[in-house]
Amino acid sequence: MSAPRLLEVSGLTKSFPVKTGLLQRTKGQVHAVTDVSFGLERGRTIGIVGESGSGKSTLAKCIVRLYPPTAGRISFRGEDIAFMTERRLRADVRARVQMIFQDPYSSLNPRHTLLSIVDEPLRVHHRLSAVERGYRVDTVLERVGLDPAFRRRRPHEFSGGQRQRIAIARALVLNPDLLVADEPVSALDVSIQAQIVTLMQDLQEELGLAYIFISHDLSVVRAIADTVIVLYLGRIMEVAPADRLFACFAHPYTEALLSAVPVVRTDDTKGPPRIILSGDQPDATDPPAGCVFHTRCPYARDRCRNEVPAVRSLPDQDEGHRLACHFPLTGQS
Amino acid sequence: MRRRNSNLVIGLSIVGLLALMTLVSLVYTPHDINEMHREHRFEGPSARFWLGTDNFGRDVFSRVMHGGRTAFFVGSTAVAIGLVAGTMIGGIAGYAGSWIDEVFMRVMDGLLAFPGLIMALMVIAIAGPGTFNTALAIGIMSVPTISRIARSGVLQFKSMDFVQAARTIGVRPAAILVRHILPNVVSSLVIAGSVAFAAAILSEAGLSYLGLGVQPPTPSWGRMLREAQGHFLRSPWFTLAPGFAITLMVLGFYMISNGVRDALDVRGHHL
Repeated sequence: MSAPRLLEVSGLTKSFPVKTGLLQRTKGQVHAVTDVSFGLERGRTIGIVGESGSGKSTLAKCIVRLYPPTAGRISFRGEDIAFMTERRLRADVRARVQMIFQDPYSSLNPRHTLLSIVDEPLRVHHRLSAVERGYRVDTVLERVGLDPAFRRRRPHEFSGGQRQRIAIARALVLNPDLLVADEPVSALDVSIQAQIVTLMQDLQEELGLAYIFISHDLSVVRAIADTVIVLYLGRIMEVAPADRLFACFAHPYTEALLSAVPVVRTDDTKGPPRIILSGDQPDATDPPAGCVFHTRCPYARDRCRNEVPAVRSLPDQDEGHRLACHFPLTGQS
Repeated sequence: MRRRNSNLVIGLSIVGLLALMTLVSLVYTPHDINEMHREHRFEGPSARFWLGTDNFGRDVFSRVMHGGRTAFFVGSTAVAIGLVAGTMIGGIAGYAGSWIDEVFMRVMDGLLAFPGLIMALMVIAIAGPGTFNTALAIGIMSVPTISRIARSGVLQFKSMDFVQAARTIGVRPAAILVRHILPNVVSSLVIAGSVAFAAAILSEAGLSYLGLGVQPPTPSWGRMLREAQGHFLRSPWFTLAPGFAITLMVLGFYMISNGVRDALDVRGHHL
């Protein structure tokens, strides 16, 4: 029997009830994430891309169990944590799964010092002396590129990039197995983004961390992810190894996303035409029947309007490339 | 350049002076507060009796000084009760949410529906009059308002990322509330507390005026007003002195609350 994968998500679904009126009757459901399955090995990175409202953050928050999912399994180190009680999560899971948030201005308590922010996980999970904790804090601060001399300062005295380093230090101080990063660089300047991404890559190599890296920025995901999941309206559209996805995507939605990435050209050649999707993402309380993308898909046919496409691998492709489309694109360069 | 916070400066000066006067009364008053100078009843201010004398010939200034003790004791006890109970109820309701929030806040709404003084009268009817019971009654009166302020502050911070981060670290809910959320709500609570202090002084005066608050022989500004009302035309000083003391104290605390609000730039907590 082989060792279980670090993380195995299957059939994960999360919907939020919409309550209205005096009696708070449930009027409907927001289907934030529907039937998402994927696996993640130690030391690897999964990138999750999609536009705003595609369920990226909800997916992240289900995996770190800030929300309980509505249905599905989240197998972490061989154990299903999807419906684990908060008490057991604290005892067995919290120290091993950490999260980094998008906005480093709201993810750090403004009243705490750098030391108490990074020290808190140690106080919660380990019985260590103050000296031992201070030593560990200094080590991790140096590792993420912060001067331990700043340990008495408060978050407002740091820049955005430094704050994100603090958040990374807080996440790393317990030596977790899995780090879920929800748009960790989106709030930062481009030059700082590169620093943070490089730091995360170095840390992964050194510590064997697994990442779930969420972003709407395809070039950032391409730089860091081994596998990329394309999410639309809470459903997986396409999954593929990163280099493969960017080279031979087969889903019309992926095509549209990639055509929106600006490319600098030094010669006069024209790139492929930009595909501009019409309309907005449909309302998640009432997703379209059939393929959820059919309302905006330039290639949609009758079958797409009636039948939900399953996530399956292409006949002549390797198993790592799966997509949910009745009429996959072929012959991409 | 920082703008001078005159509200805070004046408020603190007024309350500071009254507090100083009260502290001095612990060791020295110009006359014994219960000594009756029969031959000097209803006198106006003089070198001997700075604020005149009352209907028994007692020195009004000494009694006003001593009355400060009652005012500060009732005010601080009531505010302490209100802040502790209100923060606990509002904090738990706001953080726990769902039905716990519903139950706690509907009970608070119920308390709020009674006029405060009626509530206080009920408490005194059950517990009996007296200085501590007056403070208890007034403290209970202030719980609904303070718990609402605590709850709204907790709700504001509960959804913030640093609270979510604390959860993913594995911090227990009680520790999240105490270590992460409440320190951010303290500024609103300080303002609520100083407003409640002013209101407590007024309520104490009101209850004592009705004869249900602080009992003789302890001097209280409210009861001095009651004793003086029959003699207002004959001896206005006797009425004006405690009335002025009450006004100053309430004004001082309101100015402190406004000053703290300006200093912390916390908006939207007008009571």
